[in-house]
Amino acid sequence: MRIAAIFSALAMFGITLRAQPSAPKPGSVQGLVTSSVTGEPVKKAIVALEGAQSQNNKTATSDAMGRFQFDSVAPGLYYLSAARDGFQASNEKRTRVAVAEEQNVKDVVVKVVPLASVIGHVLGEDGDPIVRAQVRVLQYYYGSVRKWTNTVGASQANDLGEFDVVDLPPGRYYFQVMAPSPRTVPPHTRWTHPEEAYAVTYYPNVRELSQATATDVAAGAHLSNIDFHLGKMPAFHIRGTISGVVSGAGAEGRVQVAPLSGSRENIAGTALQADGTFDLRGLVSGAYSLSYLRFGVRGQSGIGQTISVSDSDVNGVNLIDKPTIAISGTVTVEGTQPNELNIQISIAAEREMAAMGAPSADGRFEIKDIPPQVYQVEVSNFRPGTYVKSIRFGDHEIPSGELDLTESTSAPLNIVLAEDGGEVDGNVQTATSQPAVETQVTLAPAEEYDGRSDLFKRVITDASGNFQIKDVAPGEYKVFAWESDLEGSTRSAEFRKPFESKSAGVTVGPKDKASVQLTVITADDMARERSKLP
Amino acid sequence: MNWILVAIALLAQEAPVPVAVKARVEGVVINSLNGETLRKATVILRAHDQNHALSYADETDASGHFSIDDVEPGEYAVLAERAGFSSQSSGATGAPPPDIKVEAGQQIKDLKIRLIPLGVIAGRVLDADGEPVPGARVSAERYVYTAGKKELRTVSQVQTGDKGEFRLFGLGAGTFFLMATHGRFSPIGLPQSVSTFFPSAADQAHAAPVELRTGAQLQGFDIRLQSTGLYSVRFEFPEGHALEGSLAPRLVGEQGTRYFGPMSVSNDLVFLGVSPGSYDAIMQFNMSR
Repeated sequence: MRIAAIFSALAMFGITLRAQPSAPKPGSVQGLVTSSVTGEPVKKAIVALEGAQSQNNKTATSDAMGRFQFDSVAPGLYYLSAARDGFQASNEKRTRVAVAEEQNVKDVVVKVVPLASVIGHVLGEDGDPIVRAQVRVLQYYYGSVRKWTNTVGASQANDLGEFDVVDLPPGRYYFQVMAPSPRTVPPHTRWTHPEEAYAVTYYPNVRELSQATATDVAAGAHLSNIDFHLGKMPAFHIRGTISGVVSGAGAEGRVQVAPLSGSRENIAGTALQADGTFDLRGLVSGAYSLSYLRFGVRGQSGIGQTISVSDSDVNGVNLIDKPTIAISGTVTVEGTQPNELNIQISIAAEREMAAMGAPSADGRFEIKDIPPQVYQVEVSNFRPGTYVKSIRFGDHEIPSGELDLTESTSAPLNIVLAEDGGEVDGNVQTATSQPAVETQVTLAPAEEYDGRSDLFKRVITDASGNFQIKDVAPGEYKVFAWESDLEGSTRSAEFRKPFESKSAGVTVGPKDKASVQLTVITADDMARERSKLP
Repeated sequence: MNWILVAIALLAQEAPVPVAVKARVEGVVINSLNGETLRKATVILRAHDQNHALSYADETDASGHFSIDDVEPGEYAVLAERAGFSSQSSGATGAPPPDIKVEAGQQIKDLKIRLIPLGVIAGRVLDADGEPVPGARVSAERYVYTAGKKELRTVSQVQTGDKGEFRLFGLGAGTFFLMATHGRFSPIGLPQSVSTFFPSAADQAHAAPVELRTGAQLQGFDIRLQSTGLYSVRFEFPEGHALEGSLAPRLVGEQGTRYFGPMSVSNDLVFLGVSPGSYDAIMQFNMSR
């Protein structure tokens, strides 16, 4: 061992290092790492052998022929996975290996999916490079309530205008380019010529993501010539003031502007001037969202306001900076006393977690310093044997979990857990009536509960294709079996819709048990339906 | 006659404030190294009292020329900016921009603004076998003095492309150290990274400095990553010393590299995929149990 291990433990009880006792009658595992696309061997991959007991876990590196070998493997069930630069680091499809006493398992094939790359240029109207232009690779992600774009890769154009996005997993993508933010000029600057700027642009040279061409990037593909030719357009200002918590000259903060479409990233920002006004420049005609970050306050406010720029400067905008608010409430378990609920209540806005709270021993919790807006309540980490029965905000049940905090309120958020949940179990088969092993099964609630991540459940079938979903809140559900996860698409009601005929509908009552028989939805069918969506 | 009197009276009232005759400032932006004119450079005349007085801006045309009309008399800082050039117009790094004084009615015609071209260092990142490494981070580091202490600071950072190539651009003249950081995925635990200095050194003390002259474009700087195998580290604990309740066992390297062990520990503890190095093994126990 080439490692100097130094113990600096906080508490030591005579721990010593000693030689490992050899396990009785071990076996071995040998195999090959290959590319899922070419089938060629993959060298220098790190292969992991993981079993139920961590002390039996091992790693090895594949040799020049892609081969790996594990000796002295204690009998048991293991999962093999492999990782290498340039290949997808995914443990989703692990290879199962059973090792009996003194068994030499041979020729196990571990497939890895090669990553793709995209190269191109960002050039201005006269062919000059647009240095430091930001290129993003976007993908639509279908979430529970709506779709949004995720940035899966990014690159900055160099001094020659070249960009190179590497390590892209296979998928359907859109390419977006943003010229660097315009440089800061003094507050009162007069230009000799009308100001111009580059608009946020999508491949192939269109202004809106809705007009952009989707590019299907295959595993291991190397796309070149994704070139952008940008033309400068008339650029305008948005000017205004801040009012609300602190108005006028006392206000200190930053105003940022993001296009309303596409990846909605900020494209420009400016600090408030000494008199509390702001002047954003370099904006081409279009719809924008302005946000304000007040300095020096925990849980900064960030109230968005939509502004449309149409062939002229927009002056006199008043951004209202609302004070942050707090929400409090209780968590109770029906029929029992609150007792160390190791539960988490979090609220998310625009799918990013904004804040969270954990109830104290008496079940009370408080989440402070959050901007007033609409949130999604998420309850997580509740212990096995319980489910979320009710989320009440003031006098109203909020089945979807959507919490409107745009106005200050003292209404409590009360969450009730219960222990009389039902169970859904069943069996999944392939199209050829074989047991569908290690297949994802999802339980999706009725539409009105779509935003509730606690009601959406996901399990994996066992070696016989059986599954069991416990702690199901009483209600109506649809159960699906999927061959692939397809970037989390199965979480989306929109994506699931065409597959409803292949799902099983169940109604679960308290302490009830429902059984279903499912046929797995193939990855090909999933990809075909996915391609019909943007 | 009455009409003339009225006119004279009006003139008499206006006269105490002399009407300022506005000025005109013209000039050209050039590359300080070869004297070529630079198009699409932004030129700003920044008023000294910039929060109240008017400042002016223009972009140079195809012949590198700019012109600003109707400039109020006063003092202005002259700033120019263009991609690939230092924003300092002349003089030593960090020097304030030169000022001009604009008099009423003055026609400044031949203002010359010199921009210093920035340089490039290009090369590839290769693994121990000489194969290209895509997606590695490469940075240009240079010594700076902060509070009398010399320290390396990253001045530019890029990522290697598909064929392991990198192009560090926007560099001023000086001495640089090139560092490649290879984030490599371990199938278990967190991604970890290994840093190598040009040409193939584990630390800066053994690195070769790269001299870059003003505006130079240097190529062929290949950084070869050091060969590092991955190891498993196993701790065993004697009988009778159950380690239940241990929290987050981990190995912490000198560079802050961390490997996390399993959350529940029985009578031994294994870390997989560990790079060579010196580590502290840390375990915490809940003493109340």
